[in-house]
Amino acid sequence: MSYLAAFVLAIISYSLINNVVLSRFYGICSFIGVGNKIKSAASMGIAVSFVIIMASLICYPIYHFILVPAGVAFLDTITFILVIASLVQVVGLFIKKFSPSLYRALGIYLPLITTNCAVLGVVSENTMSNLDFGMSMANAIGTSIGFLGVIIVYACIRERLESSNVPNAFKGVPIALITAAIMAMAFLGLSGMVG
Amino acid sequence: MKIEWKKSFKIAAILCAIAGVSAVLVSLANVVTEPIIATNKATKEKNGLQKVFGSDATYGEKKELSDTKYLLAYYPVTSSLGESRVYSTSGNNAYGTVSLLVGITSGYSLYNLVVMENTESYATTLNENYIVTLINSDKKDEALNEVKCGATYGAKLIRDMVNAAKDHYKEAKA
Amino acid sequence: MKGQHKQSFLAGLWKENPLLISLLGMCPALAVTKSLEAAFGMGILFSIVLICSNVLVSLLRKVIPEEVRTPCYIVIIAAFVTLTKMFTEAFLPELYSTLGVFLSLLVVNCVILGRSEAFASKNGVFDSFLDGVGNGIGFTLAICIIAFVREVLGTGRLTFGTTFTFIGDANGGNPFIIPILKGEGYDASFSVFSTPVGGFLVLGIVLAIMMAITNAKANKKKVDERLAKAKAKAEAAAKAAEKGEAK
Repeated sequence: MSYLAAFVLAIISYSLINNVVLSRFYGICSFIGVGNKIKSAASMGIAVSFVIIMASLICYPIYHFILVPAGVAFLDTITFILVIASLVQVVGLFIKKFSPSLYRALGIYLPLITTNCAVLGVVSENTMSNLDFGMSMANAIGTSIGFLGVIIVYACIRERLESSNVPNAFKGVPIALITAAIMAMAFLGLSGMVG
Repeated sequence: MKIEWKKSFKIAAILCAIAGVSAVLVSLANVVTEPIIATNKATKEKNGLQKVFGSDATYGEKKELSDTKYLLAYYPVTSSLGESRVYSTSGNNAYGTVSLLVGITSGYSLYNLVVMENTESYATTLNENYIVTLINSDKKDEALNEVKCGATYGAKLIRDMVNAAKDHYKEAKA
Repeated sequence: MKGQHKQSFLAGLWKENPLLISLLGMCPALAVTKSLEAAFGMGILFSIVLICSNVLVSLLRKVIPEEVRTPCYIVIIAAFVTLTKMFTEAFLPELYSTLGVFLSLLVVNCVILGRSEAFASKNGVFDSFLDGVGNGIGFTLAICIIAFVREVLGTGRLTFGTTFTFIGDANGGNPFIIPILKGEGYDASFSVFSTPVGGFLVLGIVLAIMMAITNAKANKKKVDERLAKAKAKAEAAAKAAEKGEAK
């Protein structure tokens, strides 16, 4: 199998089969937190996707060309979280300068992205599983697509749930988790698709 | 805009100090734990090796291999089955690294297999006995039934590694 | 003063349980609750990181500049997470490989960062320590409940000794198994509870039960208040009537 085919298959697998939220459980907090309005869900999804891809792009060379040769590979978590935190700051400043309207839409979500497990999760996974640069990027791109897609679909379902009559005890987060369970069941059907 | 140099400098210094102290602490801990982790790994490999052909067999010196894709080293083994080999293999795919100890009999069939390391994020369901019967009987359809998220790649990788070990043994004997 | 210490310890345990009431830290609660052992291990490591970072943040609360508060906390937490990771890899390698990437993800755990921001940065060292212990135990209990339900329903039995290998060693090298739903000749387990679906489902139902308890308590309080009011009114009326009769 050529590398390109493996790359495409890996993207499909990371976005659908091993979906970031529904089977890897990253980013649940923001998923449950902002997933009840389509517009805010989409904004959050785009911002997170952007940061995931940028963070993977930057952390790969830092880990393989600086930390490993220097013999301090064990400092990876500290380095990555600092890179992510500063990246989020820089992205925030950049958006503020070039597109104030986008900043107004995304602004409040930016600080939340630093503590979104999806970003650190993807970067740590890349180094823990010894993925090469291409596959790390496949993981980042696939994860972003998966996150964006699922959070929007989920927001659509929850907007409708708001107008339905749910038992008192299940109102809010419990019914949101049950919804996620049913979505995860649907995604479970995709396992084994890429062989 | 006037930048408050003194204040910014103080903030930066404190942040750097905290990061520096953390890094030093972590490095110290690394000095303590690194040898323990290394011994753990060595014992794990030794125990794994014993599992392949059982503790009755005698395991020879480790011989390093360098020019192959998956194979790292092999141990010659003499047991009740006659002469055989255990190959230490390691391979990478889109999901991570899998390291195995593969026992090949003199008839070039897979006798046993021990998973040493599996960093594939999702293929935590690798079942050793299952893989052995699967590869020996070569039923590919059943392999797909057992697959959970991403493990298809793992199954293919393991098959490739076992075949590489078989081929290497065949060539060495020929 | 003593009451305040007790308060900081007990709050996280039940009333403000980080997972069940504040709904934080759902990521490990879903990811490592396939087996009770792994969940317990995660809970212990979580508590260690939480206690250490709470104490250090509280010690440094006057030194850390307001502007870079969050980055400082994150670096402190990341250092403790890395330390815990190393010692786990050295002394409990099986637990390390079971938890995998979720051990690193403690760095961005909302509970740990949240306690630093909301409690340790404003309170004394001893209170912060107690707060860490309370929240740690509360979180461990919560994820153990979920893991217990998932493991029993998903695999049909409880297995001890695969993650904490010393239990297995004490049992002669084999894991210690308690059959519940699956044993000789019968099997009533649902493997779906071992999959991610089960994680969401069990957490959702546990949270709903918690919500039902809270609602019932609130209702009872309301009803009690009303009853007490009615009683007081009746008594007052009776008193007034008595007075009237006496006149």
